[in-house]
Amino acid sequence: MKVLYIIAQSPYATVAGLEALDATMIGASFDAEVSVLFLHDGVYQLRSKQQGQVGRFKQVTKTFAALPDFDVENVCVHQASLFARGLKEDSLLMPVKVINDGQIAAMIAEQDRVFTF
Amino acid sequence: MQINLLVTGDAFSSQAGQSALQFAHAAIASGHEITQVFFYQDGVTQASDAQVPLADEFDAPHAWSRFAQEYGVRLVVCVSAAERRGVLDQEQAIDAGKTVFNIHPDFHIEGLGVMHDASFTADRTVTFK
Amino acid sequence: MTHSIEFNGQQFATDVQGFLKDRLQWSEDLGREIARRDGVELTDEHWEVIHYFREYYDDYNIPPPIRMVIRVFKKAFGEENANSRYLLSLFPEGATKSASKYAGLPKPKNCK
Repeated sequence: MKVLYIIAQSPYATVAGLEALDATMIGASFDAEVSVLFLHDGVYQLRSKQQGQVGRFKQVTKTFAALPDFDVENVCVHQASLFARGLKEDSLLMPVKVINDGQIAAMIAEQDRVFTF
Repeated sequence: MQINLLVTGDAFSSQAGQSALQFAHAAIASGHEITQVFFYQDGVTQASDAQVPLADEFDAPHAWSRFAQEYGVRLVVCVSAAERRGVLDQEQAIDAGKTVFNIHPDFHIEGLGVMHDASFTADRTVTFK
Repeated sequence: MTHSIEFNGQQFATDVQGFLKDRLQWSEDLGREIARRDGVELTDEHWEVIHYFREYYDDYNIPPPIRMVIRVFKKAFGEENANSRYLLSLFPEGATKSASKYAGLPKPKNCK
């Protein structure tokens, strides 16, 4: 079973990132091959040097860096979403695979399940 | 085809519940089976029996309950999403030291693992935001 | 309803199950007291796990997954003890729940 979790919303605006992460970690506890894709404003989830605690927000974003500990190794970020927001691979808080439109289409096509947040 | 539904939109401010129900009826009428309806994120508010919509508006817990009873479909609510949004059953309320509980009796509080189980054993998972 | 524990003449707010509300108020002595109220005497092995939970939480905002704990403690506990059964013998109510509690961390989510 190949399962993809897509995160397309920014942190602090909504709790979608947190609840996507919860779902991803549960999915990873099944015998499934789990991937995560950060798309559109979702790429802000991975922005490094966030100071959520300054606004007294729970900073969920740093939990994404724990995904490899849950055997989620395939973490991808949409290249054009990064570029459009002035971000680069080295402005992210964890190592990721940066992929283009064509690769995203191929990735989604090979999944058995896709959950979008 | 076996289909499970994932509803993540709020009972009142989103169209998700009504769309999901219409889809479910149409799917069953076409000979498909709805194996489970799981409520996650804001979707957990669909299970709150403490909402009072106007007479001509969508009454989420009531509509879901009728659907579940008619077709024997299990309605499942994510425990942590529900606790965070104030949708509790009696046992949770007691555990958390709260004096009220509000879940409609036809909904069951369980975990995200149950949703994944249903999704992985069905042919399709259809999400309503 | 608010809950708290009194320790060394000070009140510490907790949830209904005795999890500390503010993890910054935690000290080893307070952790020992929270465990004592659960009838648990903390040993060096407990403390290794508790400190690991705190470090992991500082880094990632969640308790570590059990398989990480087992991987990390393979050396410290010895190969034959690096399993979930041994962890359960240290924390009979479950390592994730109890180690979080004695480490002053929030009650872990129960979505599973």
